[in-house]
Amino acid sequence: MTLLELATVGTDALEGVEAITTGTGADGLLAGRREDTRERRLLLAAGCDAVLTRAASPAARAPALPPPAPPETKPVLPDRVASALLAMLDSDTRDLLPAVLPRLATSGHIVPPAALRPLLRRVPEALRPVLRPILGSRARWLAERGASWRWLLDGEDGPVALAPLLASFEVAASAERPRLLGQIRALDAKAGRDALRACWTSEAVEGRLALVPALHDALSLADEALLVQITDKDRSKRVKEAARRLLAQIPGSSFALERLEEVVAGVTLVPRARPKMSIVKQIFGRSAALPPTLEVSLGQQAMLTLLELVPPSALAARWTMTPAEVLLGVQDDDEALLVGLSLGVLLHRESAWTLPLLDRWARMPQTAIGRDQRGRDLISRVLEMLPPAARAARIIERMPNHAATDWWPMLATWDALWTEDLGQHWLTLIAAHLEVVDAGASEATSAALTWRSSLGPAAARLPESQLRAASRLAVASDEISPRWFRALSEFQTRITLRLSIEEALIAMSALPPFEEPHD
Amino acid sequence: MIPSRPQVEQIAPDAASLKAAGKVSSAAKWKDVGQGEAALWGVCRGSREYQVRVDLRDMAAKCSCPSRKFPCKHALGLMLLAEASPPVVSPPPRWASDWLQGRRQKAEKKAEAAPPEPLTAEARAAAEDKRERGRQRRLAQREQRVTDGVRGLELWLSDLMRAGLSELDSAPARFFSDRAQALGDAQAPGLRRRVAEIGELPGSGPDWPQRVLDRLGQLALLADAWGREQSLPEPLRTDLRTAVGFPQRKDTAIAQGERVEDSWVVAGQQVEDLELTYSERTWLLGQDSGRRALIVRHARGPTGFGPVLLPGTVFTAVLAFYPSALPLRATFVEREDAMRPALTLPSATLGEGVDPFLGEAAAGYAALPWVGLLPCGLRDVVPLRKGSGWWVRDQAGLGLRLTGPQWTLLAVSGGAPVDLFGEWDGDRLRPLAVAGEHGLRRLDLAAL
Repeated sequence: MTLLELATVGTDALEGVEAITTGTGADGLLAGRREDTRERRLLLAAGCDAVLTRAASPAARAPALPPPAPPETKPVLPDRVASALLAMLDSDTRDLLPAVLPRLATSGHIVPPAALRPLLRRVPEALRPVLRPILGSRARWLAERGASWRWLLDGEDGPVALAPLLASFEVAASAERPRLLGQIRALDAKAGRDALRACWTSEAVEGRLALVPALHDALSLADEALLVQITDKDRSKRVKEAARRLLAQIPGSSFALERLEEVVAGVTLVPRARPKMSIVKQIFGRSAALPPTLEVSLGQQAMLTLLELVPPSALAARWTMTPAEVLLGVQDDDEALLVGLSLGVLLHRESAWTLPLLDRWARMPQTAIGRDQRGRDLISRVLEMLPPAARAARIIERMPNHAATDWWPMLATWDALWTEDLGQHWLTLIAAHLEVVDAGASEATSAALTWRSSLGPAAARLPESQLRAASRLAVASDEISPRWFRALSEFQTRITLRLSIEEALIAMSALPPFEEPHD
Repeated sequence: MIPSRPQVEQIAPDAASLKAAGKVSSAAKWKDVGQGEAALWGVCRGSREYQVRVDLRDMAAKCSCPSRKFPCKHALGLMLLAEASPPVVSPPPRWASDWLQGRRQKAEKKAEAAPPEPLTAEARAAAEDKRERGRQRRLAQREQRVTDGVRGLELWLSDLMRAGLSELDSAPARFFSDRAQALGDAQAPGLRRRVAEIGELPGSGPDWPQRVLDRLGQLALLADAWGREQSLPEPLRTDLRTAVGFPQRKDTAIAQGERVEDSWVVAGQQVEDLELTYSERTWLLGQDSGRRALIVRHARGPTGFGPVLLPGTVFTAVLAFYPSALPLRATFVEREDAMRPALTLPSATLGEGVDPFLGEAAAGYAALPWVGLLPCGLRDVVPLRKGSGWWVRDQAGLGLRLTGPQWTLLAVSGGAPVDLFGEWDGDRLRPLAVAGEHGLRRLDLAAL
């Protein structure tokens, strides 16, 4: 028996005397300990064997060397930049990365190798495209070594083949399947349709609900039959609704044409000096070509559903009117109609309607908008469709002074860097507000709450040229409230992190010095 | 030298302080910030104003805030601020220069301190005799307790061998913790720690019975050696006593230990929570002597070990090595305060390959069989991953297995040869620092 076998079963379980030897030079030492008990000799033999094993192990032959990483073609960022970048991976500063990573990408530099692992592990998936340019060939070499960040190699081995995608789609986890279906659709729309049809009956409701929107890419009349089948036969109301929304986006589909006719029949244009529209209530009765579950009492919701499905441009074309003329016909008390048209603009991404629609919303009585959160959200979503400069101008209009507060929902959804104008306006007004704070104004007003709420996003979205000015924002008073103190401290921490990267980039002449705005 | 962000992280007493420091590290929070001869200063503006000074020679700091943490968030914040945008060089204000001057004067006085008034020879002999008798009495008492504890340990080990190891993975946790506690009560903390560590092994992997048997065997060797302690030659006897848990006296090392003056690179550091205290283990590599020295310091908190030893820096010092059959542990006799960034691992501390290193390790185990970790410096080795295993390969194609995963090491190397320093446990190498094309990097943290 080996020492390990002896020790495992225990000496009590052994019959007779077992020889205790190591088969090494240690046996000579143990020979002088014959008076010891078996247990003691076993332990001493194990101890000697352990020491000998450690001391006398021959060198092992190492596995073959992999090919070395190709040389980098880009210069490496200084450690201090990498250090600041890694500090931003913390949860409370991670939202700075969307501003910083593209900036670093423009520098033409890459991160030092020692920073690769934490960046690859912890940068959120949505930011991978902007992380990629600063990774260099070393990161790709690492990914080839079998790391869990093989995503880095996606698309670098030439075009993705359809067959492996279809094979992956069959066995992939639920969360991965919509993305794979989108890739299949991009390569071959019919193959994507067939793959969806093949798995349809085995998918749970949530799976079907996630897969239907993947048809949006390369959507065409060829998809109509499948989508009609889904709207007719699927057991889930939510899945049917998702399919309907896609059908409505296929120009010339029977579904889209029927919805247009329903709206045209249901929304009458009364010719007058000033165009006026009104809803013909009767279309929402049981006899109308609407889902039989609808009741007259649900008329308003049915109208909203219908108007969302019809492109507003199709309506305007039918009436031979411009978007502005159509919107002029919306009465001040027809907020629901305006909501419906807005939903249509959003679903069909009709950018020509955004400005007239926002103008019309601006003319609506404030009480109508104020009592309906849905209206406020819609305005923000429509605003997102505008180009940045026009969007900023609209928001600035809503910021006449530091006491105004209704601009914040519109700004809160801005997920890229602010424009220079918007950043400067925000800086000017918050400086004015901080003066009021300095003078002892209440911290519990809605204006104070709005400005404090805007500090976090501002640190992540202010343009680089305004970071230095932002770093000077402070309250001089010793009597500053804890809330303001905390909010400003966090703001300054975040600005300092961004500024440290900016200054390092400028110092290494990777970027031209930014110009400070004139006060 | 203004510390880098990772170095500030190292100095910070805890994560909360570091986070708070980040909040006071923006320029808007500071006024009168400046730097001068190895010092930083500034006034932090918050609900009150605090005067903050940092002596960059040893990262000592003073702040007028009431914080009991050291260094406080304001001092850390000032270092972060200076790291992000180095302040202009200027003459220090009075409140900073007074403190700096005071520190420097104190250091000079300490260096020049006159020896105490000599006692008469008789009085000195009497005092010494009394002290020695007391010390011998306490020592004898402790040795007896340790002997009793070792006897109990041997009985426990024998019982374990009789019953076998097969069901050890389902034994209650107190099976090991009770024995460890008994050894702690017997004032044998070294043996206590070894038993507690063995208690972590059962069920921890497919080869746990072999690892447990190895460790139990080595424990039995130690216990056996204690029975023959008086007959062991010096310094092996001292090593045995240290392994059992008798403290090594710093003044003995300074008085009797070998002294080595050199420029020392801080190559790796670990802070371990020992329940009531914290232990800091720092490897220093001598640039000229090629010596490897382990500085072990203890503190009641995760900081407070004394002057900061920043990994990745180099400084000049005279070290005294504790007497040992394998002298690795050392203490400071003199130390220059100024620290400079280290760019490479000292060439003299690096071996030429795996085979010579294993020969050196074998000599180390022969000299001191119960040594735990050995320093390992290798020149021009290539880290690689094969399956789930991690290796370094030398120029001759021989390799050492690494504790894995080692992605940062692989990233720094990029498949090219690098110089590596780490700790060898007899089976695997734990990398602590690597020197490659981008300079010296520590690997004991997820930091740069």
